[in-house]
Amino acid sequence: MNDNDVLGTVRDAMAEVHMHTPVQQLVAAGRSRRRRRIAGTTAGAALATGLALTLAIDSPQVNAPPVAAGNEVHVHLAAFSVDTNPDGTVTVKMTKQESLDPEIMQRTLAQAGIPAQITINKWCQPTDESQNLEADLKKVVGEEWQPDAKGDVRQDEQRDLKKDAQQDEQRDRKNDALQGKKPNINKDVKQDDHSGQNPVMVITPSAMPPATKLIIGMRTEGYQPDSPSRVAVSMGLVPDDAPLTCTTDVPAGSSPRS
Amino acid sequence: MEHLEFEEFYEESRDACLRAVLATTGDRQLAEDLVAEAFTRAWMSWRKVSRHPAPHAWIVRVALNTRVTWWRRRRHEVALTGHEAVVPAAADGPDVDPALLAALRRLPRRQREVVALRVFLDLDTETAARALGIAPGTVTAHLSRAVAALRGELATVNSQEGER
Repeated sequence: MNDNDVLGTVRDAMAEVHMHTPVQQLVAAGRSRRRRRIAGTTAGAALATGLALTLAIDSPQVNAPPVAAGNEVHVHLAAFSVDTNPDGTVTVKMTKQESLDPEIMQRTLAQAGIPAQITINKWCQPTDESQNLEADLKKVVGEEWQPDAKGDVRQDEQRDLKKDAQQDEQRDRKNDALQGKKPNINKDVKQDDHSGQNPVMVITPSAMPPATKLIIGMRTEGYQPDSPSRVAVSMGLVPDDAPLTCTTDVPAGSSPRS
Repeated sequence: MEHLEFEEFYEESRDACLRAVLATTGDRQLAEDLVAEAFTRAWMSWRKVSRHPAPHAWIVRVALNTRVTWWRRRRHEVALTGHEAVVPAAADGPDVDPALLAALRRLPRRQREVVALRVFLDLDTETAARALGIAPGTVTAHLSRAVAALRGELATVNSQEGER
């Protein structure tokens, strides 16, 4: 008996062995398993989504909306803080535009009695310039600077800086007028001018004419670094329903200073 | 289209796969269950399996791997419940020569696998080696030893039958 005979004998001995399972049974089992797998995946995804939502709802939120006590708001978040002052003004301090959620800041300001539209790296102006309520804006928004953790600017120095800034602004406007330039009538806060400090705005809600809102465009650090403009925050006051024209280019600023 | 291809593949190779797995496990019912499981998995991954150079070798490999998994699971269950280890079902059915199955069962596992692939799936040495993850020379050596052992077993069976 040679090797082929041995293997042939083994082969022949199994000749009557047949698989009896019908193919339909295999296919049905496969389909059922596949459905379970998909259902499991879907359930897993739903569970993950639910968990994420639960975490989002239950976790303490960095930019959590404030709880207003009457119209008084005192919110201190990583990105900004809003404090209602005893005289009815509201101090808004920008600390970290990068992590700012514009909607949350809008809600916070609204609860402090300040209707506002906030945009990040996007600046809007009323399409009809006559709707830019510049005169009222000056009454509504005052600007001052405070040192951040790195800065160390005393109150009197802040006053000097503010005064200097106002004088510079007036001088630049005169220069613009002499040169026939059309001024940017929005109120701008510049970067670099107060290195190491945070812009602080004191807003007087009662000075806002009825049915108006502030439009605030903020520039994050590093946005359009090649732009000659040093505007960090640009503000305007417009009627609620004023059509706006927006741009992602940093505005040139009302008083470019070198 | 894919379903038809799978059906065709199943019709063509199911018996050969069953015989190969039966030759390795020695258990008719277990072999059928294992092959059915392997074909089910093949249907679920048919796009991949259909591109395999030897899909029937894939089936046999999966069936044998599944057997190991089932065995481990059963062994675990035994450890938990304290019952006796699962006794293999009767190996020989009406369509199998029991003497041959007994002879195959006495071969070492690797030799049985080589016989199964070379004889029932008609794989060449290279393909069988790839399917088993061993060197072609090892396949040849296992087959040679298996044939020698089976020759002795079959000679004994034939002589016993001649004496009756």
